Amino acid sequence: MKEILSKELARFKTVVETYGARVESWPKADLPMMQKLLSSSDVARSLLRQEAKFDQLLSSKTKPVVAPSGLMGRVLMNAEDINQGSFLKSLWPFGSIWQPAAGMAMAACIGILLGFTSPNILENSDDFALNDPSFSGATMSDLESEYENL
Amino acid sequence: MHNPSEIEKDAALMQDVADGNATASRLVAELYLDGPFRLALRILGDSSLAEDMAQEAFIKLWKQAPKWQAKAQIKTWLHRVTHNLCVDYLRKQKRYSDDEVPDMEDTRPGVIELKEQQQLGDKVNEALQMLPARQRIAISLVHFEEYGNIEAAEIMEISVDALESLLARGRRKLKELLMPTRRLMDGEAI
Repeated sequence: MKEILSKELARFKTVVETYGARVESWPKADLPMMQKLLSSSDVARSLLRQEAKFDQLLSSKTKPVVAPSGLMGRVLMNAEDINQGSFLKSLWPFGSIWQPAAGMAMAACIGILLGFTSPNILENSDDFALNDPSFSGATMSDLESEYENL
Repeated sequence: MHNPSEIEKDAALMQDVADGNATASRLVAELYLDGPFRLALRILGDSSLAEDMAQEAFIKLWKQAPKWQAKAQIKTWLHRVTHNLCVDYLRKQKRYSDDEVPDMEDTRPGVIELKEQQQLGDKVNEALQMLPARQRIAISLVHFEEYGNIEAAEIMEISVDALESLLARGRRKLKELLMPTRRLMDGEAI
């Protein structure tokens, strides 16, 4: 039992000296053993405190490092140059191209269908003109006499 | 840190980038530019070189956008590319080796002189730059970028055991280098 404990303590020491005191950094496989020792061993807690102090030294006073704004500008220009999008995208930049394309195709289909199924207006109007009594054989003199009778 | 929903979200974002959506490109840059810059700065110790590396990593990312697959997070991908670019650079400069830094002439206070006007953070960065490249990278990934051991090992293309060894040696060396600073923090007279 003692041997297991000392082995576990040795591994605990290795883990905290390797990964530091941050629990999230510890290997997942070691977590149950680490937690158990933390709750039961003063030595483990002391080791953790030492490493936490060192972690604090590494992190606490280090200024946050952010990318310079000039770099951001260059990176965005690169993005614009490299990915300009497709030709279709430039024609329709408002979202998926299939929606307007489907709308146009539907309109074309309806137009063609109407063209085939509706009566031929031109043909009918010719018939109408031929059947019109005004032009069904009356001559100009007939019309003139009608006018005189009025 | 392999988060499936983050991977899916990143893939959708990259699709927008590939379609030439400027808003998506800006969002990616705003979310992820600091990480590669920070990593390159810690590895190389030079701000303008770090800018070049981060820009190069992003150029590769933009080019990858049309072929992007939902297999990795953008952040991890960028760190891996930045790591490789920095390692290539160090190799060309013949500065990439596992050799320990030459032993300090003296580990007593004064080796890293504590000048009052200097920030503690500068001391840490200075000490970090004195580590061999691979130890520096391992510590940057695990301690500063907060990667888990498996992901950090993947980024460095080494085994988890090798990563542990680098971390342990790196932290040990850092403790030696920062001993005077630690004493100062503890309120001991130097």
